[in-house]
Amino acid sequence: MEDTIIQVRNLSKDYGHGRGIFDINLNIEKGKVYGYVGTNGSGKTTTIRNMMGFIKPDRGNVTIQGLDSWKDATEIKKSVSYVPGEIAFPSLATGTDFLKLQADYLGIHDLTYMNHIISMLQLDPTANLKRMSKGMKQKTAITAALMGDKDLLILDEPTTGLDPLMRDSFIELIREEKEKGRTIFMSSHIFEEIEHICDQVAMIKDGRIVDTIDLWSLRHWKTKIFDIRFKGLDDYKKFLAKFHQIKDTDEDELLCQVEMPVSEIEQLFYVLKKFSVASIKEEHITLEQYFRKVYEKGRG
Amino acid sequence: MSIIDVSNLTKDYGHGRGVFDVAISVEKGECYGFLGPNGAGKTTTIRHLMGFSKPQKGSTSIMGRDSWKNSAMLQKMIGYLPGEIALPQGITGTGFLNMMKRMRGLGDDSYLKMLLEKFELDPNIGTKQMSLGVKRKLAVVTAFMHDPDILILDEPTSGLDPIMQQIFIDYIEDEKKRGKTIFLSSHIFHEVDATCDKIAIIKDGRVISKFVANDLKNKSDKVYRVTFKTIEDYRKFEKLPYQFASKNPDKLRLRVHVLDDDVNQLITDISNLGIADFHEFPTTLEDYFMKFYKEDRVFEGVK
Amino acid sequence: MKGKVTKFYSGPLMKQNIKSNYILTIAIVAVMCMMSVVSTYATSIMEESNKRMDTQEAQADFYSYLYIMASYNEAAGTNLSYDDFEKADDTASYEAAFEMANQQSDKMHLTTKGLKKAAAALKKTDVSIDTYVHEFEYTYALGQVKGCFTGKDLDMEDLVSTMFETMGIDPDMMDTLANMDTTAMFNQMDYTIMGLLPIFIFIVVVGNSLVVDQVDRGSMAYVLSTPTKRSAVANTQAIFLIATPFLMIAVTCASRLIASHIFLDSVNTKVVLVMYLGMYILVEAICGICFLGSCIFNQSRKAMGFGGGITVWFFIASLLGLFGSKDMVKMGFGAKQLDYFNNMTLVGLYDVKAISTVGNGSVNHAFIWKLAVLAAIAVVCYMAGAIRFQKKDLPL
Repeated sequence: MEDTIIQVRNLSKDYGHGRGIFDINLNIEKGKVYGYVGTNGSGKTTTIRNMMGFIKPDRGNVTIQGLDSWKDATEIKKSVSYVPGEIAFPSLATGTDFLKLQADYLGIHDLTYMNHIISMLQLDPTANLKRMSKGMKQKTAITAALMGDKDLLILDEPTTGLDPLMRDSFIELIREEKEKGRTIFMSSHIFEEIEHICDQVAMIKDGRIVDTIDLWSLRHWKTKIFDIRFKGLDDYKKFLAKFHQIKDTDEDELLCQVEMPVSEIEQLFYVLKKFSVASIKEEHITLEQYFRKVYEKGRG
Repeated sequence: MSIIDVSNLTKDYGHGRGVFDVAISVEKGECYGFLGPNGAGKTTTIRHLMGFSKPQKGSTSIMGRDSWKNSAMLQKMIGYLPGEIALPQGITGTGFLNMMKRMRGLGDDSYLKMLLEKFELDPNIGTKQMSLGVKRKLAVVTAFMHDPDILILDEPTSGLDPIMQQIFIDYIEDEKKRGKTIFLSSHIFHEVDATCDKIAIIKDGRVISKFVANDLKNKSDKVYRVTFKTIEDYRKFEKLPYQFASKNPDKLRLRVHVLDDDVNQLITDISNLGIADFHEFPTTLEDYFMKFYKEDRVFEGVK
Repeated sequence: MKGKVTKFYSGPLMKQNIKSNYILTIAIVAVMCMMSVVSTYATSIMEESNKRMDTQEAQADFYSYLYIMASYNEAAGTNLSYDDFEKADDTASYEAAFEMANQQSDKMHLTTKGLKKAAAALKKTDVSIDTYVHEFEYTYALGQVKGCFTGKDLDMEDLVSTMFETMGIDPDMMDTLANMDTTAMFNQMDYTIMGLLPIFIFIVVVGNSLVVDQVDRGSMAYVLSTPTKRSAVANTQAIFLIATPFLMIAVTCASRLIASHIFLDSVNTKVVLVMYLGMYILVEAICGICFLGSCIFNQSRKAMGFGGGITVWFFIASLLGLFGSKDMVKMGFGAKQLDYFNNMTLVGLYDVKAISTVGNGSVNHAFIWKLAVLAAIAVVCYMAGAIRFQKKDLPL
């Protein structure tokens, strides 16, 4: 692939008792936002640790911009911003101290971008590190990671502890990054945020990739499902008689659910116009429903 | 008589923090959602319901009894799930459950056993070694072991993965069916959406919106996006007197606001044209919530 | 509504307290018992050495008498000797000899009684009285001439001092030590400094963990989510703080009594009991303060700073005050100004010196009102803490 930034090939790390990751294959392209979804303990963090060169694979490898993640880890770090899963700060007094230290490590002298992040996330860095709430700690960690303004972002559940408003701001930040052409790899189990920003999603379960999906196709699912409520029992019954792609019905509510391919949508309206409709709602396939279906498939 | 009654509750912590004139009523068998970001006043309200704090003005009562004065007695009927799970140290899950059992004077532990099975919890580990998910399960079992009629939950699925979240949401649904009254504070839209009958949105200590959840889901003001097959079809529709939210002639599509009462007209209008796609944009709880908040978000000063 | 509300005392909570703290408690009791045994042993050794000092004093006395007798023999041509003195019915000549010596020097107060006493003391030792006399004969002989090196007169006082010096004892100190009651000073240190340190550690650590620590961490929410009144919580924790130190001190007291019976000749049981009772009351006063802090504050570090800080201050002040006590100052180990510190600590109300007079005939009752003050402090603090805990807002 011409534009693959991160390539994960047959990556395996076995921790025993069935824990670990097995034969992971991923291709993350330049400029894309790639989501990594799975339950706790499914292997998300292990995968990321391999990418960051913190652990060595048992089998397989990870290449980032052509460099090996284990052998060339330090070289890779030059172009990677990383938000870890567990936030643990060094023993410094305030957030400001920590951020200044990070700036030093990264050789950053111009703090404009860092201040931009701080204002977007509404972070007060002067607070004492030990007394910060979980959300504030998370914001501090995000600021520390993103201030480097690197081309590649690797984020391990970055919005844990953030409330909806801050999650929203964070998503805004990611969108800005995307517009700059950055590549983002992000693990999460909050479906709303994945749906908002990711282009592709890989689902991991018990250490194995069970599905990868392009969110564009999820948003443009090939079949449409509508909930149609009728004004009268008469119309309801007549419609059911005429239209055959019925998925579900509820006579008490005068409600019926129809499903058809997009190409046949005109058919629906052609039939429908003869009747008195109270309301039409669309049933969307959310990432969460999709995930659950895939997940349940493996169970029991 | 409402089961849970918060009446003009005011508690001022200074610097604009606290709750101001909060009024909520929860009827029997209802699941009431209290939605707001961190620091909005959700936990403060629950503290008053539990009798941990005393109101400055107003009152909170459960089953008609004041919660500050009768807190110990009211605990018999309440199952409380705190937001932060802070288990005592140096104890196993089993030891903790036994202690709680005795403190409640629980004679019959069949319900407790059922909960342990349902949530697949093995409590025989030291609390220090427990992961967040296990801790939360333990807290759930602890809160409901006496099969209380009233459930007070503070961000119950925070930190849980989707599968555990769903198990918990299913449990809430079951409890509702059994006629329990539930008060749930959260900033996770998914759990509020899935379980609550009535919702109140709190911002900076004040309740800014109260509504029935279904009303939102079945809001009569809908947004549809229609994609046409040809530019002519597009132009024809564009001329009609609809309220357009956005237009995209390149992609041959536009968005319209349509009230349910007018939907038949819409159907008629588009059935005469070539339609490539028809898409509804639902008003989610999140959208509704963000409307209140996005208005006056203040950004912190830059250093 | 069925089911009861726990109003006054919570059994499960107490069980939990015991579970969480029994290891620390046992460790501290073990340390305290060990210390009490060790200090009893130390006391027994000190009594031994006191005996030895008594012996040296008696020896000095005895030699003074012998010297007078020898000088008198020379001057008056008599044949006084200790053997004769012992056998004689009539000690008139001896009295005359001693009287003359007394007149010569203000410092001397020789009497036949004194001679008998000195001799009696020496007889208790393993050395026979004849040996002592024999040694004196040599010493006396040497003392007849002028100092062949210094040319100075050799007199008796100098002789005595020189003798002590050769034995390695500073003659001035002998004086002071004679007037000092080492046992009392050791008691003071023993019961107040060494005895209190372990249990102070216990108070600060446990006092905090019982209330404020749980509020700070949030685990108190579980207790209060059951039909347990706040008053029950406060009562249960206070009872724990009252009963546990009582048991700890009782065990330590028992071990000391046992050790005393093993190591010491005479055991003044009453004194030991009152000592430990006093220690218990002092401990409870401090416990009460820590409990109060634990109930007032919502943050562990603040309560720890309050209760722990006060406890540490009392401890340091009593340590400094020890060096300002009369005995230490006399010995040259202390400074009078440091006595002020004794007023800055509640430990000062634990009047060890006064208590040690119990069972000794004349009892110094001063310690009773002081302990009453400590007890009152304990009661007030416990009650205030419990009430505050019930009325305040809890950030759970």
